[in-house]
This record gives sequence, C-alpha cells and structure tokens, in this order.
Amino acid sequence: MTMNWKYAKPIKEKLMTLEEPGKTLPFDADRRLVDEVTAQCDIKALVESLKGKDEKEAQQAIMTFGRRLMELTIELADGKYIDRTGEMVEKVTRQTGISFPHRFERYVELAILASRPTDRWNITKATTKELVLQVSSCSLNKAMSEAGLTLPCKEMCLASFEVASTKTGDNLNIEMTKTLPKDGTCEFTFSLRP
Amino acid sequence: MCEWCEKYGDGYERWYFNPANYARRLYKIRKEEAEALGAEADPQAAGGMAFVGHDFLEARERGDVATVEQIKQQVEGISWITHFGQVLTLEEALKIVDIMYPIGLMTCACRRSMQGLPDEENFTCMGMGTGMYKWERWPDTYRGGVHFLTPDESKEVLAKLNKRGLVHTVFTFGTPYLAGLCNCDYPDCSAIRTVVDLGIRVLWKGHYVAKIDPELCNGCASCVHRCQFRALSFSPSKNKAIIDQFQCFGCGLCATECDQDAITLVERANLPALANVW
Repeated sequence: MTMNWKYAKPIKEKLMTLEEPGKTLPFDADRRLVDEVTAQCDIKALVESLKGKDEKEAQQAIMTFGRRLMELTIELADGKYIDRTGEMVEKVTRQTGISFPHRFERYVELAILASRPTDRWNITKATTKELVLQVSSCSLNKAMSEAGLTLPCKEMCLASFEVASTKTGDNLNIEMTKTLPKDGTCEFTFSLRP
Repeated sequence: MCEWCEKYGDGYERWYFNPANYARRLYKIRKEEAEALGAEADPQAAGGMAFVGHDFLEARERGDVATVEQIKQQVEGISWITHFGQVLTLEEALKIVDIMYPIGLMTCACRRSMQGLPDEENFTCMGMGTGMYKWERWPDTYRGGVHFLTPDESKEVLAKLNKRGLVHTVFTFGTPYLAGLCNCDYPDCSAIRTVVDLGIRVLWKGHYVAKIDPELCNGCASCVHRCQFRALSFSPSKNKAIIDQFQCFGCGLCATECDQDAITLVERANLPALANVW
C-alpha cells in the first residue's frame, strides 16, 4: 500500500520532534537495574547451587534461573528503570507496526548486561526477519567450568529468550547456531516465523 | 571488488550487503557521572568533508602539489575511518532496506546549509539502524524531526527520490558501521562536491560503470542533466550522448532516464582499465 509520500516533505501525522528541547534523556541502561538484577539473579550463587544436583535437576534449576532473570529484567526495564531507548523502540513500533527485532533485542540485551555486565557479546544481524546474537565471553560458562560442572548452560539463555519473545508477542524460531567451547562463541539466531 | 568489500564483505557480494555492518547493540550501561558537555555531540556527522580546511584551498591556488597531496591523504585517512560514503544503484539501495532496521526519514544537513531549505522541504535523507532510536541525542543532526518508515515505505521513498534525479549513497559512521542512506546531488551534497571539485575521496565510486550503446542512443540528451558527476556530455556533431567512464560513479541515474534503453550498467570489476578506479 502506497503512503503517497510527496518529495522532500515530512508526513506530518508521523513526524516526531523533540518533546522537551534541552532536556537530557537517559538512553543507556540504568546501573541500578544492573545492581538489582545482579543481587536477585546471581550467577555465582546459581553455579554454587548446582553442585551435587543430577543433570535433570540442574537443567531445571538453570531454566528457572533464566526465566526469573528475564521476568525481573522486563519488570524493571519497563517499570522503574525505563529508559528513553526503550520508549523510542515502542514509539517506532507503533508507527511502523513492526515489533521485531528491537523490542525483543532490548530485553535480551538488558538481561545480559544486568546479569553478566562484563561479558563480551555483540549483535551481528538485525533485520525485520532475523536477529543474531553472539556471545564470545560468558560468565556462566566460565563459572561452570571453574566449578568443574559440565551442564547445559545454554538452557539459561534459551529459557530467558522464551520469556522475552512471549512478552513481545514475536513468534520466533530460536536456534543455537554456534557454541562457545566448540566455536569460540555462542551464537543464537532468532527468526520470525511466517 | 573494492577495498571495503575485501575488508568488510565477509563473504557477501558487497560490503554494504553484509547485515553485520548495520547491526549494533542498543545498550551500554549508563555512566554515573555527568558526561562532559558536548560529549554526545556527533563530530562524525560532518565527516571527512569537514577536515578540508583553508590551507588545502590555498595550497591548490598556489599550485603547491606536495602540500595538496599531503592534506588530501590526511583527510581521506580520517574520513575512511570515521565517515565516508559509496555510490549505490537504486536496485542496491532497495536491497539494503531489507537487511537493516529501523529506517528514519530525516532532513539533509547538506541541503540545509547549501540551499537554506526550510526543514519541511528537506526530508530527503535516511538514517539507519539502532542509532535512530537515539535521534534525540543529536538534535542538530535531526533538526526538523524524524519519521520512521517500514522497508516497503522506504522503497517507495527511494524510488521517488531516484525519479527526481538524486544519487543514492551509503555512509559510514565509524567504519564499517553503515548508518546513512543519503540521496545526493551536485552541488548540494558536500561529499559529491568534495570528491568532484577537490578530488578528495570522501565518496567512493560504485561497483558499476555506465555504458552507452551509440546504435540505440537517439540523441535526446535527457540523460546528461541527470549526471551529478560530470561524466556525461552531448555531442551535437554526432547527436549522441558521450560518457567519460573514468568519471562515472555508477549510480545509474542516466540509465533510468533513457527511454531507448541505450545505457546499461556494467560491473566495474569486469573492465580492466576501471577495475581499480574508485
């Protein structure tokens, strides 16, 4: 459907202008969100709690942790620690009708920053159909290795992603396309199902 | 293949078809202390063009070739790290809008300064990628505001800009991060001016070169005014359009204007004399 755009003209009903010129806006993640999530979802405490558990129990515990991490992140990121980037992501979604990838990416990024602030990770693809996240240094993987645990830590990430995609309503196919020990990076590919 | 495809193509046909060059994180953790005044300014927006000072023009005027060459290399060096562009065809530009998001229609800083255009007549530029969610951080760059487009709406806008005669270009903001899809013309665009008038390569030629079939050309010359790079001329004696392929930037604007289909775009890489002329 054409929008009948006229050369060089803004579409007035869609035009966003500064709401409060001169006001400093908080675009980055709030440090208090990081502190609060870290306090309630502590990676080291999780790893400690896994010792002595059989694989099935441990996997359940990791998944529960992942879900709780994302639920808390979403609650805080959309509540008392809302940031301007998040507000703008929502405004753009309303304007274009396109939710994916950035509503989902926002929660994923904030959950990683909040629980593993020193990890190294990057977004390597972000289209309206596909999002790719690479994690090249992971605190959970490291803590498990140090503790001598060989458990499927990916379940934490996958469980957290499920919570985020449920929240955004994006019907996603989530694949783990690379793993840290084997490929030097964990890679998650999120594709929007048609 | 250009230098940038070799460095940043990562297996894609062109470096600007590599989605990694558009994707970035949304977040970092906020600093506790207040950032220094001006820290959020965007010096890259002015890019390499802004580094061309009066010393360059004076050296050119007095014919000081060594100084001209030295300054040129300095400017290009900074520009290629921070902010430079490359020419695209319409088809390439249409392909790009499907491999990144979001896309914001915004005013053109070049036309604002060159033409003094009011903001409401100057929405011809597109910003791309996650930085667009933070457009309010740089109120001067986004003067007049911004509105966001779907990929299909972006295609409609690009087609209209192409019909009007504007050259599509893609620009880095911290190479290889691509965040500007500009629509340019001479003399409004400072990048085109800098490369055409001063010979400083802040805008790279595209991957195509236009070729005219004299048998098909009917001499209407309608293509000549479309060229923003002084590559096309008209020969009254031959009654044909003539192209200087060394000057051609491969935007394809001439081809989209030709009713006779006398102009085609050929791969620069397939022309030995032009393969390394960027």
